[in-house]
Amino acid sequence: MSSPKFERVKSSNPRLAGFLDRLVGYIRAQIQAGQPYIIPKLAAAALHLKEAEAVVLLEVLAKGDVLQRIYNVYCRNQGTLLATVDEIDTLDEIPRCDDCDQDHDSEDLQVQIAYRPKNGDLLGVAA
Amino acid sequence: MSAAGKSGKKATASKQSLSLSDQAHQQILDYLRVASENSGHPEIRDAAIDLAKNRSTFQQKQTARLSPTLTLLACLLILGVAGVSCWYFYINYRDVAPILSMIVIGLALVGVCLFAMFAGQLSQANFVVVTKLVWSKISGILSRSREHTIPDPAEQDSRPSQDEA
Repeated sequence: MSSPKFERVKSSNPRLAGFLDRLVGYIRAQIQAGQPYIIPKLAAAALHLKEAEAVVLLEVLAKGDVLQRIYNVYCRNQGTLLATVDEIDTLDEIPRCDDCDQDHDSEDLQVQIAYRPKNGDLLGVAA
Repeated sequence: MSAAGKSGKKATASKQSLSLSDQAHQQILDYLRVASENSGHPEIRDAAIDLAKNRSTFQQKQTARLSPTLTLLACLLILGVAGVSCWYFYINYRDVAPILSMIVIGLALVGVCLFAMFAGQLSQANFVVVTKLVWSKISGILSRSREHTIPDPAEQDSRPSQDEA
């Protein structure tokens, strides 16, 4: 049995159905392995796609409300994860970097996008 | 980061000076651009183009500086003033009323487009297109009216002067 939202996304993008099925299979496997976030680079490697192609598929799922896009903010100097935010507007309220012991400017920070299942829809499918 | 990496050092340097929200938005657009240009799968390319269009429109509306209501009121005011001006020209300056009306309508159109741009309803590129079009029309009208009003020097010489008469 598949999630109704996912089925809606597939029916509105019939040409991508094969790719989306493979991607959702990967997402389910990640969730079962205890990985909360889907990183485009890793998804691309698993599906033998380019990273940009994986982002397109993940964005299609995000647009269909199956996934939620999140933003991981890293300190450029130390490479440590400072925060994970859901909304793009809250990106400019990043907490102090404990490793560097300072409030970084935006040029000292790096943002990377990732995705997570929304409302546990895909978790329900996996169970 | 491969999408950003492919666009070279220039893109990275400009990206570093952006705010984090702009960086995130740019990163997604970069991925979509790379996918739409380089993907070997036409269905993914088409999806990338659709997503990029939607994303640009969304971002344009997000960065709007004026509310839609204020924009609507301002546009109605501009069009109202333009209408009253045209009426005034036809009542008081019947000879030049068509020219003046065309100029006022052109300026009103630019004003409306300016408000639409600040409200996120019109892109900068389209605003430039409209402005150029209006400017070319106005300059055409002005040059045509000058041709009609400035007498031909040859014609002026051939005409007998008042002193000779």
